[in-house]
Amino acid sequence: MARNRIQYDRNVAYQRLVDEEDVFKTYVDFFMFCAALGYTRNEKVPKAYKDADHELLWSNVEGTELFETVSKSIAYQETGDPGVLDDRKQQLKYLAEYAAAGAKIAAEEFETVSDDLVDIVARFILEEGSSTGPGKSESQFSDTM
Amino acid sequence: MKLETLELTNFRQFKDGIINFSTDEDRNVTVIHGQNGAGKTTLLNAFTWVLYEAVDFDTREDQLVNEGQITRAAPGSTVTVEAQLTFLHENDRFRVTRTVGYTKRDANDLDGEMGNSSFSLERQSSTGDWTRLSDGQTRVKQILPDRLRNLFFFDGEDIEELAGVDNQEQIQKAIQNIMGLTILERSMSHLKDVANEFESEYREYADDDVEELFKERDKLEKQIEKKSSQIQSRKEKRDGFNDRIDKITAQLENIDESRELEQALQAAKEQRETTEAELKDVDSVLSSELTKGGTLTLALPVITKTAADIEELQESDLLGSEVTADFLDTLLERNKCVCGRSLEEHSMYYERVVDLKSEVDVSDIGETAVRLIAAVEHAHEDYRDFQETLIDVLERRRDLKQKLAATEQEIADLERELNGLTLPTDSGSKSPAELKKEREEAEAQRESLSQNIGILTEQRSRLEEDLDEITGELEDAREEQEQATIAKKRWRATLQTRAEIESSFNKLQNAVRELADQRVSSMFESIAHKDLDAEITDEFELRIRQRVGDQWTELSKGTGETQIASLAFIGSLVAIARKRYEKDTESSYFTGGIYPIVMDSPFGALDDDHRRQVARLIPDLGNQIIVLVTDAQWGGPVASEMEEIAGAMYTLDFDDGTGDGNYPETRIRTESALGVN
Repeated sequence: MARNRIQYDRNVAYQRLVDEEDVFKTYVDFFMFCAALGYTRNEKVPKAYKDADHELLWSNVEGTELFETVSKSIAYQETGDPGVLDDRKQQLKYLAEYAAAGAKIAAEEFETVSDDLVDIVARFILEEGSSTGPGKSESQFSDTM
Repeated sequence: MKLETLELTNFRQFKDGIINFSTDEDRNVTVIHGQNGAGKTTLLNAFTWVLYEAVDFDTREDQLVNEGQITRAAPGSTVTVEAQLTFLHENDRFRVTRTVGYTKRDANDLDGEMGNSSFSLERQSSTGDWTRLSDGQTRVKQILPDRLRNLFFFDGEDIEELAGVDNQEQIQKAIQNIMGLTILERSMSHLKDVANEFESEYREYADDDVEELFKERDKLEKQIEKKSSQIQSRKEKRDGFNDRIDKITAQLENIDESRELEQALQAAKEQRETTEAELKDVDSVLSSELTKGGTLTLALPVITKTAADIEELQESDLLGSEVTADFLDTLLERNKCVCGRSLEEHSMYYERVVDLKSEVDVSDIGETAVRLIAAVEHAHEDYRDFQETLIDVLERRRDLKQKLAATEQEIADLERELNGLTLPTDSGSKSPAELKKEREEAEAQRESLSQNIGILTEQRSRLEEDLDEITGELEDAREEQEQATIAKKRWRATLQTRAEIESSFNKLQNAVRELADQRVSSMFESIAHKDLDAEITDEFELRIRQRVGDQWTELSKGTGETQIASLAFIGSLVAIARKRYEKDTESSYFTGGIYPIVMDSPFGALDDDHRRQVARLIPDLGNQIIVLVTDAQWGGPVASEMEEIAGAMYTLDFDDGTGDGNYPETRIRTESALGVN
């Protein structure tokens, strides 16, 4: 895997949510959403970056504070090693594996939606927020900070 | 230029007659009114005929001779048709005369055979004598250029087109004309030919690879040209459908049975458009929010946990200190530690700080961890904002969707009611339902053409990208062709000159557009409703916008405001020409001029309110205005407004010649003659 690029499969969910329905503005935005989704559901596709059909530039991830934080956090939780916070290669590996699983989940979740996809995705996100618990973790966050 | 008199002899329905135009500065309008067929359009044509030998009649354009005169003439004799226009121009009085003879071939010949026309331009000397000028026709065209005639002699009902759909070309052309920019345009076209010649010369020297590139480029250019012409022809067809749709809409609004339904339908459709646009904006906001907010929502637990873990490591001193290498360098430079101890070089303490520095240098993880913790704090703030915004946007979206559904239902109900009006009406042979069906078919065709135009435009863009690439390669290849240096230089110089002219052309054109825009806007503002605004856009469209709440929406076509805006546009061009003339600067293109405006039926099918507004606008359009108006449009607000401002008024008395031995004939009768002889 090249150091500055992320290999990933652009499955049907990318076509639908980025190309056709404009729910996500860019492939990077949706890729990161998928990585977070895969991680939340604890699903990943090992070595998903091998033989993948598309590439993203790492600089697109690194240029956004949120994406950079997500990338570091997932890699840290995977390894428990603070050294991974500065290890781009490791971060890319985990992102790609979770994003591949997340894209499959998104494809299944939204494939039957025929009308008003943006509304369904928005409500899905609101529901995920209340069930997976940013609220819950917020209190945890407050305790720790 | 100021018109003084127009005298007609045997010209169509005018056996003889003279009009003295008002030359008064304040009462600058001459009004000529008469019933339909009395000869208003003939008068308009008399101007263009005497000046340019051009007429535009619906029927029998070459039949200028008076019907009664040619019928009564003896076989073999000739009836002379004559128009004579006297005008002032730059302190001189000129007289332009055009005549043509019609010879009656035999007793049954009621048309006469048209001979060659003759033309003369005379100038009056200080003693009152007239001297014929040898280059008469050229002088006339210098005084009032032929290219400008459509702007100064026009059918008022046609000018509504200026503010019609896809009118950019007409507006652009008018703006180019007023500045004489067509000269520059011709130069550009000529330089293109020159560049082509040099290019051919260069190609003779070029090698096979370059030749291939040229071939490829030529092919692409042809393909692009073909696509452009396809796009153009489809746009023209679409314009046709637009006109058809507008006409049917106007018809439906004029039929008593369907008027209310049609107006309600159009209002509902406008409402639908507004709601759809709002929904589109909301969707765009929603998509922007989801783009980052989705990831944030899902990842907040993992990043929060990571921040807590990292913080714990820091507290247990497992990540190293937050002291940076830079900070330690500063201490070493100052030879003083943060605790106040002296840091002499080679001392034990100095070496300790140096050791510490090397530890910091091997890893920036401590800093990374600090940044991550700070980022998590932002993330929590962002998440709260995101949630609030998302809930608001979804609610707004739901409301808009409900509103849209209700409007759709209203449209469907109104359409059903219109479909029920199947009986023919008094005002036409078609029922409202039939008209509506026709409109739907036209709308479907228009939609299909629009899609087709979209596809073709996309294809053309791709071809243009390919062309850019090839042009770039050719540019590179050109560098390598030593033998072709001279031709190449000439070719480039030509291309460069052309580009520079093109740039000046665009600048000038834009400057005039901006002047016209300001003028139209202020003229329109002074007369129209305060919530309306007219402008000439960067794309040379004459647009009328209406303020609804805080937003501006484009006003539908075919309204009285359209007519007013179009007249304001003509007025703006006259003002620009005059301004340029009065500035008295040396201009390579156009010295400007003071021009009269002669307009036939400027009141169109307007209601009284709009007629009054147009009547008030007319004196401001130019220095001298001649208005031809039908009796149907005369009366009411038009008569009361015009009588106030007119310097001269004429009635066209029309006798249709139904009696034995009589033929249609119009007499010009003076109504009042303020400021004229």
